[in-house]
Amino acid sequence: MDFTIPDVNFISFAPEVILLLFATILLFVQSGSGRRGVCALLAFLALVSNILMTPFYWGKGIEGFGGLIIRDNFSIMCQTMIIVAVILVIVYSYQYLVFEEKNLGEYYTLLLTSVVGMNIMIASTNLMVIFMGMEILSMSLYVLVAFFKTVREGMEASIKYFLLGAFASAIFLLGISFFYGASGKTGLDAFVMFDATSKLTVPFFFVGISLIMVGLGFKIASVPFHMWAPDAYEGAPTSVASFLSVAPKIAGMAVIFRVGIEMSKYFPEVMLTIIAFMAVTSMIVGNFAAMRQSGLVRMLAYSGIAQVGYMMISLLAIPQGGGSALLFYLSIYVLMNMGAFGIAVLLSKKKDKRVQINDLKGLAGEHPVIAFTMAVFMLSLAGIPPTGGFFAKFYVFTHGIEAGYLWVVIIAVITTVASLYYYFRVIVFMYMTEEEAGILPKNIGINLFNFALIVAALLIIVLGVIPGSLLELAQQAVVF
Amino acid sequence: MIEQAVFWMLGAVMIVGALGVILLPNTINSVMLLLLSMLALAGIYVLMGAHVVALFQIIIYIGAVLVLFIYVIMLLNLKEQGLKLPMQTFTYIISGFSLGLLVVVVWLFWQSLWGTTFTGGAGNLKASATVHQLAVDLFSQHILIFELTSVLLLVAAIGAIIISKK
Repeated sequence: MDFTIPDVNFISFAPEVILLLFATILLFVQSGSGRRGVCALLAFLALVSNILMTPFYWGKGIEGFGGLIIRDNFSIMCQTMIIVAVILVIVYSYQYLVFEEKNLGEYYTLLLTSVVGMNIMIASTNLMVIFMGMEILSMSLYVLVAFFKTVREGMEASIKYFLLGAFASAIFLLGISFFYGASGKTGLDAFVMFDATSKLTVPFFFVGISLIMVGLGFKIASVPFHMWAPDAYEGAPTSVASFLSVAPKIAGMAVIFRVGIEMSKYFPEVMLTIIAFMAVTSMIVGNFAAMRQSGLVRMLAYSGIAQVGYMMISLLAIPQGGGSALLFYLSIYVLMNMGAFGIAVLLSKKKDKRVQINDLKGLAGEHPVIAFTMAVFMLSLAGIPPTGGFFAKFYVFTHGIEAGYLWVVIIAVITTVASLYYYFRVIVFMYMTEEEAGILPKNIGINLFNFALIVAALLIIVLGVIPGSLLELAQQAVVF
Repeated sequence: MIEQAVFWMLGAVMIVGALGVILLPNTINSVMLLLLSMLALAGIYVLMGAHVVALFQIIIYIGAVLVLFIYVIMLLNLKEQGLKLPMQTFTYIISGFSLGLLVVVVWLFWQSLWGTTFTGGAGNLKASATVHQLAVDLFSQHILIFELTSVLLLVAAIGAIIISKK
């Protein structure tokens, strides 16, 4: 009954504290003209300070709060990816979002708090802490999706996302209760209690894990929990949609990976069945639904669902070192998907209606550089050498075969070939249609936005030609 | 013996209440039955020796959540809402699927509970949920989760203001 002062170890939580500090400061930035730069700069500083801190954490495995927060290399790498994604979102928002110059501070506050939520999700193996992180993330996202509440679709998308998201959270929480009921613990280390032979309370445990997987499946928008994604992306401001399609997926995949490590030690077949089912259905549904879309954002949403399917193949091969393949894929995915959404942001700024794939017509003639970056992103998403996307897919597929899941990899290859259709359609529209007056102005000039796109495209090519260093980093990150 | 009897009675009240919530057409009646169900749940907590949790159940769920429910229903002025599902093949497929899922879950519980003495897991957690013990746990073992709750509330408050602001 005695009160023991908890072992807090503030260092382990410093990045989140800094983010929250900046988020609070941003709340006090008064709206008015000329505040765009101030807000964006503050948010940017918070994220950059977080990135600068990572070398000090790398390889140390700092723990805090009695093991509730674990900064191992895996979490550091995932968090860095998320921060890169959010920095790109800030660039998009700063340059190309039509702001009513209102609530600017809150917009960036919510971006930062969502990063805090994801950081916490990734850096913990305790399901209660993961749940809290997930809720902080979800709350921020619900509001961000509805940020332009003058747009009717924005409100509709947010309500849809909110209702389904609240439902998924409740299911996740129910899963934790079953997990706790069966083991008396909320940490993922509870698996140790179970021998494969002991039948007692194991069914409870399986129900718990299945429900937890449902909650996470919703966050990463994998089939059959993907229904919200296209509508939410389309209704949200495009810069938020780009964020939505990348960052929560990284956090969700990280948590699934942590659950998967423990599951593959004790009950491999249960986990593998769930993962294989989600991977195969995601690839099939995502790719074939993307073919029929005419809206650019919707197409990218379905392509994102398909990409999640490819990533999940690496989870089938956790004992064979699939974690490094997952991290490599995620790193490339951040760049290529954020880049592709960046083009959508660029077009949506100039157009009131939804961006159609047709709007890309003749882009190459007027804006060769932007068209080139878009072509790189599309080729990378399709998995064509020499882009990073090719190597990411290749690496994931080899791991899948190594783990003995040849049939899943065969389906993956078939769906990849099918996906060429809709990725190449974009390139064909840009390069091979007759010139007509595009919706972009003739001269965009060089700005931060173009610069970010070009850097992302070059990085994808560089990582496709020399993937060694990133791969090595990923391999270091999954050594626990 | 008397504990057993009380448990079964409370359980029956809970199940009847929960069924009433989904079966009655009038929403106010549904909420009232939800109240009954939650009171019975509070009773079960008392039976387990978790008096504080029972108190929370009454204060938070009955005192706050249900009042909000009633408030919203009165605000929306909901009339009798009959359950009208479109009777298509799709509806039947979904219903069949849900029933199948229910059967699987019940079967799983049956398998794990029947004929086994529940010693592992939550079974060995002795109820010592006094206010003092709760406070000690909250501020030592679960301090991180406690603090994160405040972040969550902050985000929710900001969100509510933004959404409702004209």
